[in-house]
Amino acid sequence: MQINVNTISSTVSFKTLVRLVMATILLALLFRLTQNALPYQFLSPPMFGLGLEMPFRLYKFLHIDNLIVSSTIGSMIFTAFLFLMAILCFLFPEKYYLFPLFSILYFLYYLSYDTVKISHGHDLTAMVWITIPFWAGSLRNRWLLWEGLRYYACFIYAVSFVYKIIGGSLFVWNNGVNSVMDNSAYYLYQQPDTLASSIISFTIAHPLILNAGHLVVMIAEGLMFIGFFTRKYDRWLLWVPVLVHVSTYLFSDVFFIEFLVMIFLFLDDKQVAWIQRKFPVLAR
Amino acid sequence: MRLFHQSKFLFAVVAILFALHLNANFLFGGQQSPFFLWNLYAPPIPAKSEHSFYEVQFNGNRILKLKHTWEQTGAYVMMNQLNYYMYLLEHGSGPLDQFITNWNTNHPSMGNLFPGLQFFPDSTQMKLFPNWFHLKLEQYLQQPVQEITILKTTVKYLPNGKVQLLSSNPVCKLM
Repeated sequence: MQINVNTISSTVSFKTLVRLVMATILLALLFRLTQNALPYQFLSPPMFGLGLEMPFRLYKFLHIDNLIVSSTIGSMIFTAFLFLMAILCFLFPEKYYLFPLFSILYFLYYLSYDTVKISHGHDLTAMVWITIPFWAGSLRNRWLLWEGLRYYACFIYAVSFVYKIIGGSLFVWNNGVNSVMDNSAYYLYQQPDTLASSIISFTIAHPLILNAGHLVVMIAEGLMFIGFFTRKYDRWLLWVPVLVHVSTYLFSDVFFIEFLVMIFLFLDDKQVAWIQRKFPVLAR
Repeated sequence: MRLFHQSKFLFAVVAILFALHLNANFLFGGQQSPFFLWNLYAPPIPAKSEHSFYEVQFNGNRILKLKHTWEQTGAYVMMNQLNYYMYLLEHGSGPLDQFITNWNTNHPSMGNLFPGLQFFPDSTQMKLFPNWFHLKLEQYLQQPVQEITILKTTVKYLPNGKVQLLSSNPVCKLM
């Protein structure tokens, strides 16, 4: 079904995208498994942080944490079910009724993770949002939601840029080096002899690199405004999230790498065709 | 508009989601996951002459050394729990507890939405923490741990970008 000649336009392509997203989510879950960051690996932490957020309060009020975090059996069943649903969604990308259940499970994981890490960092939000278009039954509605989510991705970064103007960090030249110094002190002290430490120390000693880099990243966020008006530059815009999250990972100790799942929203026909050629399992 | 013509229901869903996002960001500032503020690092970050953090000393003089951020997803749980516990020990309440309590009082319709809800860890959870941290540390290190001491370490930056130790003192013995 042809929706828009400028965008990805076939059933096969959408199936590939669903599989690409679900494979990424599965890999991210496996990565978290290696990091002891899944519910049964929390070992029932006693401290928690609810903040002002009603979903977190409802989660605690309904004692969902007792079921999926505090209970050893419950947390193991929940984790297994999360993986199982991700695998089923990967295997059956057209069974739209599987996806709401997966999204809810993942959202519960997200609530439990942010509650026990006592910081609502929202690093898992993108993984929840990216599955919403798959809730729709018809291919056309899936495409429309997918396209809508692409605008949302532009909104995220464009609004971040606006906040940096309102908050004033765009106009503070030393924000780059101050941020890196603040976030890296612990690591530089503990691991002074690694390659990463050498690079970070060098850039702190030459703050022009960090301050200019910080400015470039903020301006790149602002460039996402272009995405509201045209898809012509999507192949370039998809590198903005990569620049933002990889640079904050390398220099500011902020690991929001799972947010990169959003870049799939910017793929065009040619790129999806390339993925299908390289990874035929995703198109089958 | 295409979505409106295609499916009124989906359009309504998207419109509500968008309204919630606008609310979180521009109207009442009511961040409610997964609708949240995109203002990380928006305010200026002041320069600091010293940087302090907690370190974990175990089995004699061994220090827990966390690798780079690859391990952040797991380390977050362990270290954020520790940082919060230490903050509670030092100050008696969490860094945002007073703000949250005031907010609940000033917004009774939201603040009292869940009657009887425990907003912050209490002495029961505080007592459980040392044992939990012990288990978590053993899980992380994959080896038995006999004793745990928390150090407060302060460092400063040198002109070459490296850090220099100013002080490192034990502040709490967990076991």
